[in-house]
Amino acid sequence: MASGLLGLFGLTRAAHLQAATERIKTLKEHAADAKQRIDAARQDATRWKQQAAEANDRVTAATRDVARWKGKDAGHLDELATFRDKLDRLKQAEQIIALTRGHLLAMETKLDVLEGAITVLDRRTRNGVEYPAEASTVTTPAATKPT
Amino acid sequence: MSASPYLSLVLTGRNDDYGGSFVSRFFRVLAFNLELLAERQLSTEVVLVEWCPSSGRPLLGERLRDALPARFREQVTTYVVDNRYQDAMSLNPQLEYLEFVAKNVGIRRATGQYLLTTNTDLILSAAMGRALASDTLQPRCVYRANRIDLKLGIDDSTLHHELLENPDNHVPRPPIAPPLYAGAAGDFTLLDQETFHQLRGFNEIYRMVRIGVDHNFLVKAQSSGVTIADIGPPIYHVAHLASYQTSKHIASQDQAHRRWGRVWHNHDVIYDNREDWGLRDAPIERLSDGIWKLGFDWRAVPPLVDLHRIVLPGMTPPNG
Repeated sequence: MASGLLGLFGLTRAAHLQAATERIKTLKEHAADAKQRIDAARQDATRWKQQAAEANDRVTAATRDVARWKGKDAGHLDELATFRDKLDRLKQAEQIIALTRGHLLAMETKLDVLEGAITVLDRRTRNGVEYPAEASTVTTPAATKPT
Repeated sequence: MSASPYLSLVLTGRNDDYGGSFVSRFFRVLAFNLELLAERQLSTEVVLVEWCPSSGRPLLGERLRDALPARFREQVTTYVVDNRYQDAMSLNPQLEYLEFVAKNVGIRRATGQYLLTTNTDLILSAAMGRALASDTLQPRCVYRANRIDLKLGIDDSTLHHELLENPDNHVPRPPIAPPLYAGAAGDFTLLDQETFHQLRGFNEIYRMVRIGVDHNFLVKAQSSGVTIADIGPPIYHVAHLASYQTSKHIASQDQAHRRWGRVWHNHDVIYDNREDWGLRDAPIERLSDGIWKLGFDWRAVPPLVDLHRIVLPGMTPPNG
């Protein structure tokens, strides 16, 4: 009843006023606390952003490294393929040389036989042919032909 | 002998005492070897090819028949080859003896299941006698043996196993080794008759040398898929002044060429002998018991030059 009358005149009871003041004070404290937490969260966010940026840089660098190693690896693979190719060609050349050497030795052996045969035939001819004493005076080749 | 013998010893020699005291050494060694094989009850024949005998001298075959103990005489067959074949076939007028063509004459005519081509101064060891009689030889396998040289000047007038086996009498020599087991192969080349015929004997296309023809046969055998193995026991050889091992160090170059010919590509180039190898078509005539004469006939003489028969290993299939 009394508070109703005080309310008609824009007044309130001191107890109510005190309680409201207390609530305002509490709310102010809550607001300050929230502000503090928001500030801390902002700082965290800034720190995380920074870490994310750093991580991003590291990823970028790693990606660059990967690309570089990939390039190097491809180079090595190319080198390996070249070496393999060279080795194959060397093996082929070795086979060809061995075969050529074999044919050369066979040719030399055949030449030995030919030389031997010519020597034998030459000897038989010399032993079998008697030249007339006057043959040296005959000038035409036909006349010197052994009969 | 009626049935085919198990083993034929194929030898060649001349009646001119070629190589110094050849004849007495030959008779002594052959009697020793035949005694050893008889002890092992191994049926054996001896095929002696008397190459191009000098006229006016008794035949080696006749002297051998007279010198051998009577119990061995029937085992010996001598083929006396007309002396015109040396000149007709030789591609090297300096060379005095176509040893391996002579051996081919024996290989073609030997009747044994296994043929051992060897030399007249090679002595079989007791262990070799046991190995030959053990019935373990395999066809399509060239058997080779290590040769032990006995010191020059050793008293070999009486041969006995104690003398041969005494290490004090031995001259060190590198052992034969795979794959070819080469090294003095002409002293011991043992192979079954059928395979010897498939390979057509030793090289008689390159008739210019005596050295290396035995090694060349091993290359040919290997190229034809024939196994080569060390038989195990050794053979013995008494060093003498005329042997290759001794005289190669003292002969002049000219003497060396006359006796053995020049070094050639015998490790690399092989041959494909004609079907009539070993003087197949030479007319044969009986001279006396166990002695046959191969008369001269140009149809038996291979051509001087037959170049397509000079081939590389692995490029021709084995004959037969």
